Amino acid sequence: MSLPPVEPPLRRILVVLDASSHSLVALQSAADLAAKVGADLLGLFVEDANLLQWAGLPFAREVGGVAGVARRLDSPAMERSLKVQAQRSRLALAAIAEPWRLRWTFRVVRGNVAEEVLAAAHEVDLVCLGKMGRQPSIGSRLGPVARSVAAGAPRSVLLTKHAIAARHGVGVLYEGTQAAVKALWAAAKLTREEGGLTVLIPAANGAAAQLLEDEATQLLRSRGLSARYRWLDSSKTEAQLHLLQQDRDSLVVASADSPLVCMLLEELDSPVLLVR
Amino acid sequence: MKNKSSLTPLKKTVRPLQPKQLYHRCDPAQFKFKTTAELEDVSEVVGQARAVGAVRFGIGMRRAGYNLFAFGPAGVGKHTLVRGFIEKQAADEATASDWCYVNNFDQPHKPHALQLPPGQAVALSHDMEQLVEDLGSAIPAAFESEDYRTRKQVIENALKDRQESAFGALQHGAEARGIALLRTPEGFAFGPLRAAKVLGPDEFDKLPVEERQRIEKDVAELEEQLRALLRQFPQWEKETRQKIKALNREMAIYVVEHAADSLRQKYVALPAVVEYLNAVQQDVIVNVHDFLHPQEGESAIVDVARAHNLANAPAFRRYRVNVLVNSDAAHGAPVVYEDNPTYSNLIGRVEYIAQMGTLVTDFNLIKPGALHKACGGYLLIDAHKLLIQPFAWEGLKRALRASRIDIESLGQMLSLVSTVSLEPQPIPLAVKVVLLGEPLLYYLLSQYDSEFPELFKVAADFNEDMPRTSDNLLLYARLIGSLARREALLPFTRDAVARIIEHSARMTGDAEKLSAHMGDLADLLREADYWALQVGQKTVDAEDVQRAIDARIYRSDRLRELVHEEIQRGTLLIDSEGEKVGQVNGLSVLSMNHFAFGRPSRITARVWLGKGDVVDIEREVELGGPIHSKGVMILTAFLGGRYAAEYPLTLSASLVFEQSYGPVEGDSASSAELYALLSALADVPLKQSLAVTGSVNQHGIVQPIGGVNEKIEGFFDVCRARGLTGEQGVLIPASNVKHLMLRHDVVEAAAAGKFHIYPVETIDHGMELLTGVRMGARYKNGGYPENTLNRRVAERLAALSEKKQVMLALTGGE
Repeated sequence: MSLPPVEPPLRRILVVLDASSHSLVALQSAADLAAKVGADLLGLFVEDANLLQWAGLPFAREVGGVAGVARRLDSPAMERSLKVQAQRSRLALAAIAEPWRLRWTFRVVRGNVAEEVLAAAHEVDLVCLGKMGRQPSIGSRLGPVARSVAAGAPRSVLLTKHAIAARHGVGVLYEGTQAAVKALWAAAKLTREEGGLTVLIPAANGAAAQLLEDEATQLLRSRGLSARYRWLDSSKTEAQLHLLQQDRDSLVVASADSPLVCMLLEELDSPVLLVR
Repeated sequence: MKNKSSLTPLKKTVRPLQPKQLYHRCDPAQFKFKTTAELEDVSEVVGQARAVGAVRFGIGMRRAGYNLFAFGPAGVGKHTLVRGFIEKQAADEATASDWCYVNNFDQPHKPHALQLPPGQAVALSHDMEQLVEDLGSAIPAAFESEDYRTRKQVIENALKDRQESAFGALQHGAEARGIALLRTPEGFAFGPLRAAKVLGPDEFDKLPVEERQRIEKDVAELEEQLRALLRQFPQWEKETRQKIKALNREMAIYVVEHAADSLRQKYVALPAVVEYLNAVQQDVIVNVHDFLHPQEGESAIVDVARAHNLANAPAFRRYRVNVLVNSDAAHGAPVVYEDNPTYSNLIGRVEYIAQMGTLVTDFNLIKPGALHKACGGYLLIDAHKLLIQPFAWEGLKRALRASRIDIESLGQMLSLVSTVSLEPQPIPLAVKVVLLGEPLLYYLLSQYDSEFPELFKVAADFNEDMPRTSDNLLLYARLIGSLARREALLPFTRDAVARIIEHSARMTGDAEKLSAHMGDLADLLREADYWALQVGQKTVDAEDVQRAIDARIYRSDRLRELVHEEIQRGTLLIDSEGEKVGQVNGLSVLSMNHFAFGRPSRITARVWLGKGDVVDIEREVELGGPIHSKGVMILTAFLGGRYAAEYPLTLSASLVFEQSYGPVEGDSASSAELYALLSALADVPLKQSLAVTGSVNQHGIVQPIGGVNEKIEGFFDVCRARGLTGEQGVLIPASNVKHLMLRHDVVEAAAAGKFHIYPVETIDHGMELLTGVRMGARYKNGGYPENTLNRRVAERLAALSEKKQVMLALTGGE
């Protein structure tokens, strides 16, 4: 088996803010985590270049999301709107960070949202963002920005839809790979109480699952830890994930390389931490 | 004495009464027992046959309006008797129904009343608490079940899919035209797309005109489609909500029906309860969310403790059962005595609790009244207490008349308060009310309350006394025995019993009666027992009874002593020797609580020529009562009728109670006043060694009066203190002889010839005794014999009349 890797310490956490409710949940989770490990928060608001460009068009009209009323929009108006959102995001960050006495910075950049987030990700150890942003995502529970970041970020990514509950359980996907071991350690670190860790083992049959379970047990035992185990039958993983979702407050940890990442993000409402 | 010298002295006079007439002794020898311990208890009530009959009838009569009014003097044992009969009767009757109030789910301000068999109300209350407790865990469990969650998820996902596919179609349509759907800060927008980027204004301007126009047209069309789509969303969401609601309902029905079914089975014989349970089921189904509030961090399965608390939570108060009447412990029909019959204590009330500074209430705060508790049984109330409580009498009558209990607070009734209130469903009332009170209240109500005779058709009239027959004497002895046993007193010897009987007769003021006043009798027995125990006896003897009587008198006779002391010291002027014209010793009675004593009063009369009226000074100064005034007017009539039938009565006279500074009432002094008046008219002195009592009619017949014993004793005490001369005595109406139960010392003095009691039938007899001269019988032609008192009076009046006529002639009739 592999040697226990040294987990990189969490010093800076990037939280992507766009004034949507999902981003506020991400902010809450990021602050929670930052307070626990003593990390700094970096709030990032990206002024969508696409929107600004579009607002310059002569026929640019906006259809209200609530009432469905169309109204004329121009660039200055769009800039003002974005400034308001940035301001609200900053206030939200300050309001959450200050009671925790967290060090925080807030940055506003202009450009393609996903590109800017990925660029900023290089400066931090973890990226937090809501599963859905403001951009419409059709036929998916994952917004386009979250999808790009999850796939392309150089660091671990925490995707949230609901806040992580105070007494949450932690589930971790373990496939026996090196990356999965890393995820296992990260999950073990985030488990707050004894017995709160559930190892989810995707395997085609019971024998394979048993093998992986023994492996994980041994690993955990080496650090004096224990866990519950759950076999995710490859033929009905989706249905089993639906059952998992009943505990939507629990945190699910997986390696970013795991083949199940897509399914996890699409099917689960629980916060998902992709470990890199 | 020259006034009298010309008159014929009396040869034959009224004989004083024999000692045995002064005191109607009860001979202990007539009793065969030694002590009352040998006697059987009395099972029936002594001396109240009429009342007992009425009570039996009233209790047995099962028709509306046959309520009972038991009246008689305080202490005759009304309460004990009525309660005894009722309790006996109630024990054999069916136990009354239970009553409770439950929520009316349609109109919460009109709670429903439920009638249940005895003991069932509490059971239903517990069952409902258990039901809520069960639902408190069963409902959350059902809603946490995988089945429910999956079905709910399916419904929610269906909405999402529908929205997303609609959006997707729109977006695909847009993309096909090279147009992107954008999310702006406040909504959506469409923009031309080139290589995954929105076209800027510069690039757009570079496009050919047709292209630009096409794009603009396409965007406008897409916007229209988007608007149409967004308008559909609320409807879709509503449909989804309704589907979830229907699902919730389905789950709730499944859980509640299961839980309520066992209760419905249990109460299947009570359609009203089943109906209520159905209503509860409907309400739980509608309000199922009340049961679904897991606290933060709490597990999905609600723990037992929380479920238990659930039943007490405000939201679940509406499922409680407010037990008003619980006949569980009772055997037979209820018998309730309401000691404090206020309106709300009778009718029941609705209480309030303060919540956020306002007063609120619900059916749980309905409190029962005595009528509820007595429903199906008997309610005893003191009439006086009832009548002094505002609105209580009217409230009781209304309930009896309507045969139902309507709980309505006084504040509500009088529009004094306007808080939210309840109109509880009336409860049918079947109760027999027994009012207990003084006769005066009964007669006043009969006279002034037209509804009273309708509602209280049975009057139980309690006697104050009973005849002193030999049967009753033995019964009385057994009664004494029973009371002694019940009170754990020493047994009474037959001598003691005899003495008690004598005292009882004295208390009624009639030698031929016995007091039916059980309270006083019991007091006397207890006190005699006390004195017997003081000297360490095993039985109560006549001496102990006497001591109890004496001690009681001593405790209360301070005022009497004061009066007699002042007479002794000459402050209150009373002569008990010699003779005086126009002055006589009258006798009055002062009565306080249970003690009465006699007091001699000097009555004087003066006469002069006048208009023919007798002036009652007491009346002139408004100290004389109407009956006293009537007595004095009768005197005028007597004088006129006897002496001045054929010429005008030109006498004026004044009568006065000397040294009397308080009100004078009653006509018992009218004979004394007449004696004083005749003495003044005839100018013949009256013996001051005699005192008189008795009223008189227009024909000069002396009529009986009350308190004869006390009056005689009052004068006797004065004479004895000054020394008995053998001349002294009292004139009493002959018809009062049967009332005599005089003190032993008076009887002894009479036996020794030192004090005399004269029974007098007419004024003439009295005058002869007081003056020692003949009155003279009237001739057929109208005159009176020479040298008689009557002649003297007639002549005096005639002379006065003549004088008056002379004066009238001289003054010309002015």
